[in-house]
Amino acid sequence: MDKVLDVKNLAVRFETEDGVVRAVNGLDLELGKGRSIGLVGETGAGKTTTALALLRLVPDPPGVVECEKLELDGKDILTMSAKELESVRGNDISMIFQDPMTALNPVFTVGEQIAESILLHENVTKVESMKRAMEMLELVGIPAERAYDYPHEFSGGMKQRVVIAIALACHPQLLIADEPTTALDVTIQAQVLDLMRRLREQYQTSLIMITHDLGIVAEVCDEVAVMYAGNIVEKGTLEDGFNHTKHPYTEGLFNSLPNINDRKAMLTPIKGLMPDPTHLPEGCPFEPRCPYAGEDCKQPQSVRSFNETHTVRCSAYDRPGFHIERKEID
Amino acid sequence: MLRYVLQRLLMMIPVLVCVSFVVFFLMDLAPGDIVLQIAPQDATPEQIEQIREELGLNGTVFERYFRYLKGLLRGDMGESLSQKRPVADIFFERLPRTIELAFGSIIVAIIIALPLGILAATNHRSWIDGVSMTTSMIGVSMPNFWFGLLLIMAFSLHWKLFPSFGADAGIKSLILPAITLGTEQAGTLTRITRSSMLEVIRQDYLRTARAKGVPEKTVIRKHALKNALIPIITVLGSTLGNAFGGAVTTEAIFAWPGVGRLTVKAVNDRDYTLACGCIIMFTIILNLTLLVVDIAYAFVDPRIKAQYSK
Ligand SMILES: Nc1ncnc2c1ncn2[C@@H]1O[C@H](COP(=O)(O)OP(=O)(O)OP(=O)(O)O)[C@@H](O)[C@H]1O
Ligand SMILES: [Mg+2]
Repeated sequence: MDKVLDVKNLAVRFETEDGVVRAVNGLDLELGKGRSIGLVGETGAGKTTTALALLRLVPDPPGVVECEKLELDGKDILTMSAKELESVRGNDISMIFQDPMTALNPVFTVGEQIAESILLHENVTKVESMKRAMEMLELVGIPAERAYDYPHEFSGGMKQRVVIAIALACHPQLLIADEPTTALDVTIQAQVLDLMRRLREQYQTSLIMITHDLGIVAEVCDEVAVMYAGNIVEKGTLEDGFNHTKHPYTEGLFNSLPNINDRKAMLTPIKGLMPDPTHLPEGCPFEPRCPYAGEDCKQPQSVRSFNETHTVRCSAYDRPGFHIERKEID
Repeated sequence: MLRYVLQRLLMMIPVLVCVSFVVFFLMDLAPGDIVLQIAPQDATPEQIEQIREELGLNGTVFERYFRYLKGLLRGDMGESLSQKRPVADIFFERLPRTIELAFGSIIVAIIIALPLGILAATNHRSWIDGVSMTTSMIGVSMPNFWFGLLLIMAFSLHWKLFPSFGADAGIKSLILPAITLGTEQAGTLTRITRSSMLEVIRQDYLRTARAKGVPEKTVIRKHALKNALIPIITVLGSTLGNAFGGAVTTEAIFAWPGVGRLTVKAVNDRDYTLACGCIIMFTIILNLTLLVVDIAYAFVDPRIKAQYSK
């Protein structure tokens, strides 16, 4: 399998006045060319930080990034100079940020903001780049003449389309979308997701979709990775993650979804809160909230594979006959 | 936009009436009487009364004010009592020098303050931040007369590079006064540049720019600075407006023939018409400068432009 992304042992910490925030702790991630993976996890799990680390954009200070291997399409991102990084960002790897309301610069027209990316990475004149920007706008469903308008003249959904146009302007190999639809209402959400899927097919872009909505993952991704307290606790294909769930935290996520078929059933949210990232436990960070927790969970966790694609970080499976309550679906 | 400008210009009329009223009455309250200064030592009370009438200083303060206001609204600021020439002539003779100094100093201030403020903001809490903030503090707290004299001692007396007084040597005369005044102005400007940039630097859209591959320098100079410009322009505008009113201390040290010293002298001489005229002109110029600033906002920020055209 050709890999577009290969990350080994990524750790990010923020050295703040209130202590060291361990946002990402030894994360491994691989993604095949043209594939899409959903990165799921509750707020504070370290999803955005992981994405920023891939672009080498973690704010420093306070952020400190450590990583064994970070390769994008075979290119080593870790050893790149600032200038090389600039030529990779927006060109080979792009990011759509969480909040479209604040992601656009209020004092430049949206056309200028799309064209800037094209002008930076491709050998074109200013006029050509503006023409390309207008084509991109059309592509995301905004009339080309609106290129001369400023962000405040657009609605939230349209702003997100503009952000997508910026991210895709140079046909990157890898697109990271950080909760691209959370700030939008449901109908617009569906439109934006549909648009992303279409564009992805058109350009063969690989995708990391960050979200806390398992429904979105089911809709647009081939694989799923569940993050908890700065690490991936379960990773696999949609089939692995949804039908053969193994990690107690993933099970908790599914149980906390409302069930349309049985509306009387109680919602069962996961009890407790994620551990404070300044004081992470030595063992499994989910142990304090886990219904299956035992003494063995207080040790550092190792990763176990259930098949070629399915990996889980949970030592409870060392117990003979251990299984979670959620039924496997074949 | 044009309607907005007209509105603002019309709003200046009540402001001018108020300002002239306050100045007129304050001048009246001040002790001292120009008539006694002009009249010969041995003048009889009748003679003094006659001079008073000639100068238009008879009657109650209200009568005099309304007489003055009538002229003012017709655009006539009257004649200087001490120089016996139209106030407008005297003022406009001096104004170009003041404008020169104002622009000269503001350019010095910008050259110092923008880089310092931006450096401080982009290196927040590091030693660079500390050094720039200390420098700007020194700029503000150093008394102008002292710093000006220091410059004269070094550059005029010792190295003989620039003249120490007057405005007759063109740009050469301007340099030392502009540096003296500009250094003081740079202090406030540095602080506002820093705080405004700090505010902008945290914004999400800069991250978007970096993620596009925009080089860090461009991120700061283009994307951040343009957004930080509104408060900077505000301070620039009021600083410039104030400098148009004359920088009395700086003008005094360098014997700079600007309107600042003219105004002070008019007040000391109890030259009511000249003093009032100067202050009214100052008000007009300050208001026009602030209007230009408000228009400049529209060019920097499209959201403000949209508001104006509503
Ligand atoms: N610049 C920073 N300085 C200090 N701490 C930070 C910084 N950025 C993130 N963190 C911390 O890192 C942790 C992970 O944050 P991150 O934004 O990656 O979470 P997330 O999974 O994206 O959450 P959300 O779903 O709310 O977007 C959090 O505890 C957060 O407080
Ligand atoms: Mg996030």
